[in-house]
Amino acid sequence: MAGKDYNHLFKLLIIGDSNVGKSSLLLRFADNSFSGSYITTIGVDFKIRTVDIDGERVKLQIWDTAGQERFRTITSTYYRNTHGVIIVYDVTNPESFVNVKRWLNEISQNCDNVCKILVGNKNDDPSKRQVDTQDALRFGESVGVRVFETSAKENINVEEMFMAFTLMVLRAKKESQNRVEREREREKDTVNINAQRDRDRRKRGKKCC
Amino acid sequence: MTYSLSSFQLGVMGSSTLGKAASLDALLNECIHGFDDSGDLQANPLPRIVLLMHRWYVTSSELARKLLMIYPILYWIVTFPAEFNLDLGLIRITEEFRDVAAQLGCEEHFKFIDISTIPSYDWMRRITQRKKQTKKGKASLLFDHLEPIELAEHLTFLEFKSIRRISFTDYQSYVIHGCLVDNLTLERSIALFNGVSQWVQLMVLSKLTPQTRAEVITKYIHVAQKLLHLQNFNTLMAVVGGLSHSSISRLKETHLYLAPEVVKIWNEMTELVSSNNNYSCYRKAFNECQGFKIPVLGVHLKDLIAVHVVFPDWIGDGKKVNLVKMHQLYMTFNELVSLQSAVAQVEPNMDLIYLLTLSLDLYYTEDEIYELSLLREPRNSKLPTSPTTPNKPLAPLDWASGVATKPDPCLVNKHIRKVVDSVFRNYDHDRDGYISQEDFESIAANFPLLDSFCVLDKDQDGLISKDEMIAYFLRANPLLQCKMGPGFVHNFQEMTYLKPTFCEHCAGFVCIYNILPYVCHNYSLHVESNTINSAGYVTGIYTGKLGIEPPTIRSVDDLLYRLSYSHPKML
Repeated sequence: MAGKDYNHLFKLLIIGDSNVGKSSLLLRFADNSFSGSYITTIGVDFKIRTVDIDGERVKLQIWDTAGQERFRTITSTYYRNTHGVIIVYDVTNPESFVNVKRWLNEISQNCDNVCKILVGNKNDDPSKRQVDTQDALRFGESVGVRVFETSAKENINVEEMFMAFTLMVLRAKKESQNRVEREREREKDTVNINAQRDRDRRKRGKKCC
Repeated sequence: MTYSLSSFQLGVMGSSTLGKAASLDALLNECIHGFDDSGDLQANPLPRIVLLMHRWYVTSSELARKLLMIYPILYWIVTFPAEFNLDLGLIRITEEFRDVAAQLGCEEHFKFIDISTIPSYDWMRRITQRKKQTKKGKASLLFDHLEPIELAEHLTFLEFKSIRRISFTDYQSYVIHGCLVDNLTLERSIALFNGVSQWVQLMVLSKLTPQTRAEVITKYIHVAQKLLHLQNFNTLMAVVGGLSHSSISRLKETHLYLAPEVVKIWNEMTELVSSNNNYSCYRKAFNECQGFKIPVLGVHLKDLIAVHVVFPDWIGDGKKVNLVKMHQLYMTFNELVSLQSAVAQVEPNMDLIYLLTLSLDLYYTEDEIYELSLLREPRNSKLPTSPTTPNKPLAPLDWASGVATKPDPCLVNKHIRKVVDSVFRNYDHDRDGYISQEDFESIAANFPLLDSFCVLDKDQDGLISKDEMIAYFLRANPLLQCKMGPGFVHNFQEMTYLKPTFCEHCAGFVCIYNILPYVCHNYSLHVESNTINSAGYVTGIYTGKLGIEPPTIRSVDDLLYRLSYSHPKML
């Protein structure tokens, strides 16, 4: 496409319980030029940011579901064509951590193959913490999802989390591309061998006659 | 994206010189100057904006105290009368003010601030009331028979009734705190939304064959069309959301039976409410609609939250109202709150409304629905994957036979409990945990095949407790299973493995459940007779009619449908 200023375009989705700070996380990661005045206008995605990673330009289209968490079928309409899902919980609210399982479940019902990351937000006041880091890590390991703890308020670890996740999504894409390529190669090889064998046979046939 | 602040401020604030922020006093001053000497508003939007939005910043009582000028108060009373009917602090202050005016001999002013003629907005406060059934046996008890337009109209009525109760402060509390504690109106509205989505999914999944499932989908697509016609976008979203849910969208075999024009409409509807480009299609369509219209609540809540997170409320040492934010919030709030003064277009049949409410009130987890979907069309069923392969539809028997399971008593138990909970939620009007004789009559009015009160009231204390009702359904359940066993092998399997999700449901009305499968074509059955022993009746009829497909009843709708066949008088 002419004028395309990126190598990859990824759609990322932020989900999780109400009030865990999904919008704030997004706001933190957003460009400084971000202005809310166009939020409610027609035809504008909530947030786009382009980052350079692994020597490539990656355009991120980040979708926020804040406010719609409880409308069960609305959130499920977001999953289409999503490359990565960021599941957010609030480290000061154990219930939001418990519900991570439910969100994971929803993802597995809606997406075949998607990158996931678990983010414990509001990690800025140790006295209010109620979800233990070790518990979160253990849980993350058991379901095969990496865990980050962030504070959108204090701008802790937000950039790192988004960048790490983007890298994951990028690698996953390349891996699947490679896989497709390898399969194609293998098919080609098979065809070649067969073709060679056919030719040999034909030659031999001729000899016979 | 190049929506510049200055241009919108010019538009919004009119000739105002307030800029991007202003103190409350300055704002009110500006409002007051918006009125001319005769109290008329010169096309200045600011007073409306301030009056609608003030509670974001101060309480109504505080505002009233500040508003010592009379004309804005008059305008306020006329514009948002509900507040003067519901906010006690506000009522008190207005009355005090009126007294002062009377003492001062300001008759003109005294006349203006009369709030005694405001009609009652009590419906916004009383949210637990649920209409009791009064007319016995008059209900038109079926949904499959209803035209899509009737369904759409009744759904719209329910939606409207529910959504207009949500007040400014309810929205405000959700946006700020993100939870539904003490926010019954919004909670109920969301429950209705999710209820509709689940109902759609369950109705589709309740059908045994891909063809019949496709028929249900087709019907809902038509309902969605009618909802769009009625400009009820919220229910439209709920219906389309239910249909696009993975539990339905994964039913490849079912989709093969959909007519191309239905698929086309379905795609259009899905596109209309899709989240693409921040719901641009929906926003465009909604903005173009004139007159009565219901917005997609979730989308606008999302907007409110986005605006709230992005902007501070106050700027300049916390003394000045952030006008940019106020205006942004106002645009959404104005849309939402204007529903309070809208008038519903529908003349509903209250019996239908009541039954529809009950249908929508049955709660399932997403996992349960998804499991049912997997049972209907297992994951690795050998289906044609390529459209070029001519597909020979599998006979229902073939695919159903592989998944027969024994009923799990634990699950049966759980689901009966659920139904009973639902029955109590809807019929235990005084919430004392018992169904009284009076409560029971309203149940019986809807479900005339239920055993008599004394049968359920085991300990004969004149009240039916939850345990008694659960016990009753459990007693009825095994009875049903053994009666159904031989002779109905295929259907028995169906019955069995579907049981977790549905049958127990209707067991809510278990006698019907027992009888109906076998009488749905028997128009001569006189169900009013109180002497009928339902279990005995079942046996009698079904032994003679082995050829009749014994349907499974899986939802209240389904049940009502069958009821209407067995009992044509009720139509």
